[in-house]
Amino acid sequence: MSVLVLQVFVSLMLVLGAVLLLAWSIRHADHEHADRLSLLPLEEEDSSSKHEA
Amino acid sequence: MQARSTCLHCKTPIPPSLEGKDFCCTGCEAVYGLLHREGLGRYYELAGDKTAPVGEVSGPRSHSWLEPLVARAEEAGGSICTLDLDVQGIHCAACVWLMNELFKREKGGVSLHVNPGIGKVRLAWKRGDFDVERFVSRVEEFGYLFGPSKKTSNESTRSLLLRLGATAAIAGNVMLFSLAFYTGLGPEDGVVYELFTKLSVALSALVVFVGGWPFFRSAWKALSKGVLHLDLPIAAGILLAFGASLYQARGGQGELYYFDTLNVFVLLMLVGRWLQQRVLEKNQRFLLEDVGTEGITVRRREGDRLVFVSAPQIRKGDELVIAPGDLVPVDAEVQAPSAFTIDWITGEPDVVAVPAGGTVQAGAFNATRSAVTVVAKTDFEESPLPSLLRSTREERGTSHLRFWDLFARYYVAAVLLIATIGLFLWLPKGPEKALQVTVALLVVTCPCAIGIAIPLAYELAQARLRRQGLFVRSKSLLDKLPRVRKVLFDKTGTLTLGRLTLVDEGALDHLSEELRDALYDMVARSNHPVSRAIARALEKRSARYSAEANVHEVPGQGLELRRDGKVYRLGRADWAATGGAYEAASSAATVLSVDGIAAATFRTRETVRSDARREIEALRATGLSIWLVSGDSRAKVLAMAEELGIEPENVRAQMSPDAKAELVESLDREDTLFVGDGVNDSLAFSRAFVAGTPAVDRPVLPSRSDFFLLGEGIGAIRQAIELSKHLQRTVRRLIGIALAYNLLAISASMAGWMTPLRAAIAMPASSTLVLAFAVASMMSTRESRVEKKRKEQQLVPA
Repeated sequence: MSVLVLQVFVSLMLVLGAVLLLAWSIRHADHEHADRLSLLPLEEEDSSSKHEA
Repeated sequence: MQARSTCLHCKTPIPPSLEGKDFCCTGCEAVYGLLHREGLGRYYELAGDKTAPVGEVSGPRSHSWLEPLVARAEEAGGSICTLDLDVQGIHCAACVWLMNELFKREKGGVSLHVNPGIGKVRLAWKRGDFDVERFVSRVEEFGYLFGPSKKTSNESTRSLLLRLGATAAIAGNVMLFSLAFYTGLGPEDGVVYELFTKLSVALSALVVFVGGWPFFRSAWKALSKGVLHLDLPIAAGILLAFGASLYQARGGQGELYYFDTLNVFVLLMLVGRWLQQRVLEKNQRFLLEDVGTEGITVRRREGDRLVFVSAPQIRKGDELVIAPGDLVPVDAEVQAPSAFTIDWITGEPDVVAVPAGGTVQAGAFNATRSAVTVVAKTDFEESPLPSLLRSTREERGTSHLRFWDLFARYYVAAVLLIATIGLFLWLPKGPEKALQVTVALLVVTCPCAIGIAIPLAYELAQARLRRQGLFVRSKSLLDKLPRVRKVLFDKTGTLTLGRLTLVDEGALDHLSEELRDALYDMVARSNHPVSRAIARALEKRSARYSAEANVHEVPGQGLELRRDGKVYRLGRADWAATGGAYEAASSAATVLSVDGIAAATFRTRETVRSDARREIEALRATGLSIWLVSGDSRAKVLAMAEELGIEPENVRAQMSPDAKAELVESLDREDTLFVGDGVNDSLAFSRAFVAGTPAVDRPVLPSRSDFFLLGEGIGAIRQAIELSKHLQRTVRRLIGIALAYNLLAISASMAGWMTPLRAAIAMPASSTLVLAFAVASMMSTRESRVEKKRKEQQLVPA
């Protein structure tokens, strides 16, 4: 039983985290090009931007 | 080998007149070449098919507006300077990547933060170590345009997206809890049942509050105005489903909760609302918020020279020469009696006479046949012109808009009536059962088709048009286009590519200095396209301007200047060269004469848009009546009409802005489409049922039009009309499907068969069905099938 409560608690924390991340992303207006941002770590060192878009 | 059918840069179809070429316009060709020369070919990998046509390549832009902004940023404290700018032309992540790549190549840059959602950039650089203008010019070479920071992010769209995200996240969890109830979780399970119930209640309350708020607010607003809005049954459904579920939760009947249905319902409605808002905003924000005052040029006297300056450079006390038909950019004092029109501001067609020393207001057009000198009373910064230009076109009431309004009212009334009937029918069986039936009725009759599927169909239609280079600006355009029966085209700049060019500029070099100055004095005071072409060529040759010159414009003939006992004329050969025989071959050219003896001839070139003839034929073939309306001479307009296959009876030449507007008004039966490109077309725009412009780089019109075009062709207009008809059919079918579903669902609910579980299945199933239908229908127009076939046949070069 306590495990179930813990799991529910963790899942709700994840929901909260997701919503907060979304709010952060909307605030910084990077949700419109999230596809490119998600691929940034895979870019080669010389072309990886120090100028984060 | 077969030629390409789509542009290598933007993937739009190549007009037949450019068959054999790889690009749809010179802009795309230039940008494609530049990207490859600069080693930025990866742009295409990132962009996919999201690129839009670049359009006609214009010369380098003035960045006079940038200097004070950079100076202000440099003057602020600290070693790092920052500056916000608006940018036009960002489509996707590839544009962000491209700008970053170009930024990294500049010395002294610290960071570039691009906001593609609203088209803004924030630059940061080391003080004195970075050339902002150079960077801006470099990026503009790729087809983007920068302007002062004026765009602001739309708070309502941002908040709607956040509400949507939060609702989606919570709805997922509530659905998992509901699954437990449907599979037998009951009060006998003790703490788990209690926990899941409490969580369902708490999270659903959050969804009702966060996700339902936009619907409650708009339903309340409409109700307070006495209007039945479509959000009313949505709001009522949300509240009743939540209330009924709370009631069941108190009674300990988990299987009767509507929590998951409620959450999904709110989520779907939010998706629809967000789609609607996002599409329109995306198109409206594509352009610079700046109204294009940089694009308004005015002749300013500087000593014995007349210099074309952009409006923002005007300062109080500047002496400005306003040519016939030109715009006065600031409030000014008139130096000689003159007359002006301000119809595009007030709608009054009367010409206003202004005496010498009188004040003419900013935004007035010179309505006389002579240039008038005015003295600016204020700096341009204080001019009311920008706010006048920013005023947007009013949405005109149409039967289609009325249809949606009526449909929503009847729908709301019908749903509320049916729910009430259900309540009273089942009341004898007890209030609990009656409430169950009423809630089921309100939940299953959710307007999914109208709330989600129809906005999605509009989004798909608009996305399709964007790819063809047509950007929708007004909400009602796609509803209005199927009604269009008459298409009126302006000539210069709309069916042609704007400015004229001199065929042989060298002719000017053979003129004496005296003759060149006299010619400049004439053309500098005229707004005629030929005069502008000659004036541009003479400016490069440092011709001098004399403020005292008395130039008179003879309508339909040309310009006349009397100086030192000589009569200089520039215009039609039979009018200018009266004193001597003149070759018949020169009759088509503009002749410069001194005392009736021809001194030089000038031929100009006007480029017709590549697909104009084909598109006009195609539009006529669909039963539309095509009109050509121009301020140009009758001979020229008729020649163009013949070239384009427009009947002479549908041609109107030498039309003033008022005459254009009157013609549009007389023809309009809520079925006219006017396509124009100049400030003087704005009155006709306001009278037309639908208005569009290819002039995104000039002021006024994009903000006053229902759509704007990018690229060199006008083919997107026909596609928009066809697509709007297809959309109309799709919408009707969607309404048919929704009605059929509702009939079934209402019958089941009235019979008392609808349980929360069944509603939880039926409602999303019906939504998915209408969504799938909308997608399938809009992705498969007849044209797309033809396009696909063409692509299959096409041989793509390596």
